[in-house]
Amino acid sequence: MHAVASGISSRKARLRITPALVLALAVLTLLITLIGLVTYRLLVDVGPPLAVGQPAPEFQLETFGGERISLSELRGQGVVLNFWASWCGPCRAEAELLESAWRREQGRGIVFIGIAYLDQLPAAQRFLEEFHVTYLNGRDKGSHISRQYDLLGVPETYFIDPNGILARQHKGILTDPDQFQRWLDQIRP
Amino acid sequence: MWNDLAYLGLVAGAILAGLGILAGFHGGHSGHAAWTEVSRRALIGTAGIVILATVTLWSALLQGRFELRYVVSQTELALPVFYKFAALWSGQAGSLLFWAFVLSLYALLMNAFLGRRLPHLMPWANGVLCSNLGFFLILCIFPANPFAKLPVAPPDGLGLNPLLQNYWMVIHPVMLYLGYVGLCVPFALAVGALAQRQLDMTWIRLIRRWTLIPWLFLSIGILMGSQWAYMELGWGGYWAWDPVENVSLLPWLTATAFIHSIIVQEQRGTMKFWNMAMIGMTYFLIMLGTLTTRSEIVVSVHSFAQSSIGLYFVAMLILALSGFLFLLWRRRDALEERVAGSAWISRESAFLGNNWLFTGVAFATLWGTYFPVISELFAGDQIAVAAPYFEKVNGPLFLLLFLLMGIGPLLKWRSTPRAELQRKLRLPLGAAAIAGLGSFGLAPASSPYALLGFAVCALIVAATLQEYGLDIRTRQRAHGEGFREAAQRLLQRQSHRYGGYLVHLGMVLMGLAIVGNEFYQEVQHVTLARDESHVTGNYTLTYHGMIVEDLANLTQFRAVLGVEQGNGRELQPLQPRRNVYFKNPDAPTSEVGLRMTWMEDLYVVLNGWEDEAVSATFSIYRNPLMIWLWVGGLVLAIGTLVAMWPHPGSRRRGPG
Amino acid sequence: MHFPRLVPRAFRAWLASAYLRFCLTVGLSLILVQGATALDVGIHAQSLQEQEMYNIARELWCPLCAGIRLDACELQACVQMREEISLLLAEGRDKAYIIAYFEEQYGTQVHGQPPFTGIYGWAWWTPLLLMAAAGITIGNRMRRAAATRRDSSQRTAAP
Repeated sequence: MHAVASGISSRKARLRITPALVLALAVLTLLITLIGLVTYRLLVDVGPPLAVGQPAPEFQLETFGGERISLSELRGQGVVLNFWASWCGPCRAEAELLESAWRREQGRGIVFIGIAYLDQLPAAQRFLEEFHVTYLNGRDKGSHISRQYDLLGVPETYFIDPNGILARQHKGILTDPDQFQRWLDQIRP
Repeated sequence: MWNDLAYLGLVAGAILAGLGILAGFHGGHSGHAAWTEVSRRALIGTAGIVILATVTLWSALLQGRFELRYVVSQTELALPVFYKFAALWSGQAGSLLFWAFVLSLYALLMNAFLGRRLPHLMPWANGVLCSNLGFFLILCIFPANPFAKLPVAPPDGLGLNPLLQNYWMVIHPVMLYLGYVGLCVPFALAVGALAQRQLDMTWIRLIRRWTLIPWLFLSIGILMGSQWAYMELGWGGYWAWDPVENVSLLPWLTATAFIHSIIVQEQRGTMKFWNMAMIGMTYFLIMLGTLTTRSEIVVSVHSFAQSSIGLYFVAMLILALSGFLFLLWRRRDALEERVAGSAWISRESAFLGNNWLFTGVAFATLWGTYFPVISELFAGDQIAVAAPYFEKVNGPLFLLLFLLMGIGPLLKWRSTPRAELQRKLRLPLGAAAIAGLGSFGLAPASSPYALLGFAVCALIVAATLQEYGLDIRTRQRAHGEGFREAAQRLLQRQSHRYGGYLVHLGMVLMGLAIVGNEFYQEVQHVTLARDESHVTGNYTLTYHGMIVEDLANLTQFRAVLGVEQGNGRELQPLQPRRNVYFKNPDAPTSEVGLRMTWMEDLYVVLNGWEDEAVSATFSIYRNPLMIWLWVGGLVLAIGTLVAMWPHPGSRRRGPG
Repeated sequence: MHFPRLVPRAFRAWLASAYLRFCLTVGLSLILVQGATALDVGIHAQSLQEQEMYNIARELWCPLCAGIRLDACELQACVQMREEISLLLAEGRDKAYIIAYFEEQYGTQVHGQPPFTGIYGWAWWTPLLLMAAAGITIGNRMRRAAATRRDSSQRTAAP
């Protein structure tokens, strides 16, 4: 039994297109879009396509010395791309390994590039001096490069082969010199 | 063994809830009382199982049963019992079970109190609550099992997130859950009313009360969260417009809009559709909020949990939304607005304005909270939408809301003559002028908002008191009562209305604190050597040294700061602290040193210290009027209780 | 001129005429009080330049955190960013330059709010447009309702 309470008319309402209806539909559409967005965000890992075996994203970098370099200029050489920051503790742990490897590899077809992520000029320079870093280094202005490389945090190191193909991405500290050497051999021209 | 049993119980509970859904909706549809009874028993049975399972998890946490993954991830042996108790809702799986637990309590209460008063609605309401309980049980059974075991039980747990080890963080989530989850009950009652076309006075009165109860808890929960942020995060503020904070505010906003607009339905019989839409919206925002908090869609400092439960929520959201929309569509005849003409200057238009602003704030907050996700999709990165955005968009809207809070009570239903409004506005406007100019004179702020804020607060107080005074006067005349007698009678007879006004006054007090903190905060960052002093405002602070103390699961560093007032009186020293937890040494937490007075808070954060604590760095804030935020919360709570209190005569008037 | 009946009759007329003047006088005299107390300034141990640095940091947001202001952020990165501000101030740069510099270096995140232009502008316009649309709709409905009310009152008034 339906309990029909007072104050309610039972006649059918005709559907009129009123501004209120349009507005209600607009709000509804927005809500559904929101659900859609949330679903999309849950299902798909949004971000630029970055995959091992695919071309590494092109970038331009202004080094601390004022020099401008781009990835495409370095075709024909292996590239080690190291994202770091002076405020990052673990980055200190791998700094010596990177610099010593660079000194060894210099002139043997592999280029090292350091990219400082959200770093501050004086502190970054102090860091480079402290570890006597001699390979090219620059600040990632506006974090554009970091975003292209899907950076989760620092340190991260990317190995790019002479054809500009991303050969390996390593999230976290480089700890094992032998392993690092093997990875370098992979991108040697 | 108990834990396995509890898990099996969850499975049984989910099946029982499924039965409850079918019985409830079928019973509601067919009108067979037997099915209604089945749904009631299924709901009570499920609730009982959930409560038992929760108690089991609690005892596992308290006893340190480290064979359970959840117990390991949230506790440790040395954790104080107080926080072991709170570990139930600090992690993903536990908090979902806790959700179901709170809903179970509400389900039992709803059946106990409303079973006989709204008998026709009950099967539907039972069905709705069963589907919610069932949903959270499914989450606990599949993606987030709180009783999941580890292959080998470790000797000790990983410890609780240090940020949560604060007494406010124990009570605040409970309040928030009581509010959040409780707002499912009005949704269930709305579904029942829609299905049965029962939108009469009894229903209005009951749904109002059952909205006010969770609304009160939610208000208190939000305020306690601010208190936690104020004491623990140490940036001198209480509200960061952080995604997790925002999603707790969203259902509060729509529920507040509903609490106001249901008055229009009660008095004038209009806004039926709108009220239903607001209840549905509140429920939608609760689910969206839980989803947002529990899965890291939007990055937040408060996101303590992450997992794959998001898609379950999306499915539930789509189901609930489409079901509710279908029901609204089918019952559009019952919700058709009877055109009741009201003048521009009338109580109705004030309520309309109120709802326009509340939903506006809610939409802007929702939009801003999720905009990073949108920008990520279209522009490739999650743009930061932080406090400046919300302050710029919501600030003016809140100011208008406060203005309406002052003017609204002066207006009459249907129509108010312009001259009457002008006459009634004179005293409040005068008060506003004094307060605005006075505040500008006493303490010039950089923003005209500060001046306007104080002015509007004064306007509300004056208008409300004037209204009360006029009503007393009228009653004195009509009944020949004395002033005190009339004042008391009026409060008793119209407790709904005056309770509401009391809530308004609570909001005014909070408004004062917000204006004070927002526009008059003073902050200095200083490094003090031992016995060096710093003068701020009326205080001289002297750093005396550091006390280091090992507690059960942490080392506490307390800087001792002597406080001397301008008149040379020595006050209790402040002890801003740093807690370094043994299990999480990289995430030291801060506890501020605080001296609260009626005028301002002296609020000191210990930022760091040199070796041997020969010198230490502090952030010293002076936050004017902050205490009124908490006092205002208290007044709000009292006002809500007054407004909720049953009328002396209402029980007799209501049917059944 | 009427005044709330609460006020005793004898005062009502006086109040009604002098009321606003009175309010303004009280307000203005409070401003004078402020003038007298403005000299009471404490001696701060904090250097002016440091204060200036924190004033600028207060308007910037930590690009590494969600919703934490740069002046209150305790990350090493933020400490270094504040150091950077101090250095730029020492170089004689002004606030506008420093904020622009931060935007260039660390992205728009440092503003804590989306820009007003381009696709980000929709963060601002959408709520505004929607509220305007809702306001107009409500206004229209009220006008229609008011019109019907007038009609019906005229009908009842007619003999």
